[in-house]
Amino acid sequence: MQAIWDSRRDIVLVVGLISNILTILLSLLALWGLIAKRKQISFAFHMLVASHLDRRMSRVREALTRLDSLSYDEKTQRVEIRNLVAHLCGALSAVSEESEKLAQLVDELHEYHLGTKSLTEKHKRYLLSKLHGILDEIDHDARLRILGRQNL
Amino acid sequence: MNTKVEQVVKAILAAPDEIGDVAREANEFYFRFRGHVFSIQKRHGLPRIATAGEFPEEDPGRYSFYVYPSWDGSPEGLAYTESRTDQDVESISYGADYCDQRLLNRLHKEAMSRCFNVDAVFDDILGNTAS
Repeated sequence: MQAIWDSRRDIVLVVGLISNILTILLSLLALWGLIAKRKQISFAFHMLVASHLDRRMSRVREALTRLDSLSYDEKTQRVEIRNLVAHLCGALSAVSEESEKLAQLVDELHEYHLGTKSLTEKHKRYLLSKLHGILDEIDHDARLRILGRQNL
Repeated sequence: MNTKVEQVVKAILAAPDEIGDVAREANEFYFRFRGHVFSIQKRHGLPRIATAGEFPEEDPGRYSFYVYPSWDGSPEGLAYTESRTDQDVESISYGADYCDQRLLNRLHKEAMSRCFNVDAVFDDILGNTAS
């Protein structure tokens, strides 16, 4: 009876030892992966960040398209235009650290949103084209960053 | 055309001295005439064209004349409210379908010259010439 009990304890010890060795080996493999493939991992991480930025930008561009189709000269459309300006303020605030020009434009949009400055159709068009230009620059910079990572 | 709106515009143009309290907000002039507040707006952009399947909107033309039947404040206050707040002010607009655009052009110029006090400049020049 004692012999059976001892052999079972030996089996448990051996299995534990094997599992510990496997854990150490896999941890070493993971560490090696992190060190050896760090460029690929960093690239994948940047791709994720870029796709998140892309999604946000496409939502902003949808709002810009809608804003472009409305006219501030039409008084019935002014409330929707102000709502869209407020929406843009919120959406762009989160990405305003991407560009100093964008941060300045968001400040300007805030003034129109809060009513400290009065909006006109001419101003709206100016803001729209400026915003399109800044977003294009941000898109371009993001793509260059990804390409730079890919070529490392 | 000779609609009631056009007759009102003609009445305003016939007595331009009664146009008062003119306030400007961008391309729109708000004014009081015989106790009522109106505004005349000039559009800089072309009106939006209805796309296929969309019910065509009335033609606003280059100029629109607005009537504010329930506004009892100043034209200046109305200009501020309409341009910087979301407050819904009761108003009716009349564009090219209701009024001859040349008349509205004249009204816009009249309100503009009242706002900029152009008469004082003319009087000054004519007065100097006379003396």
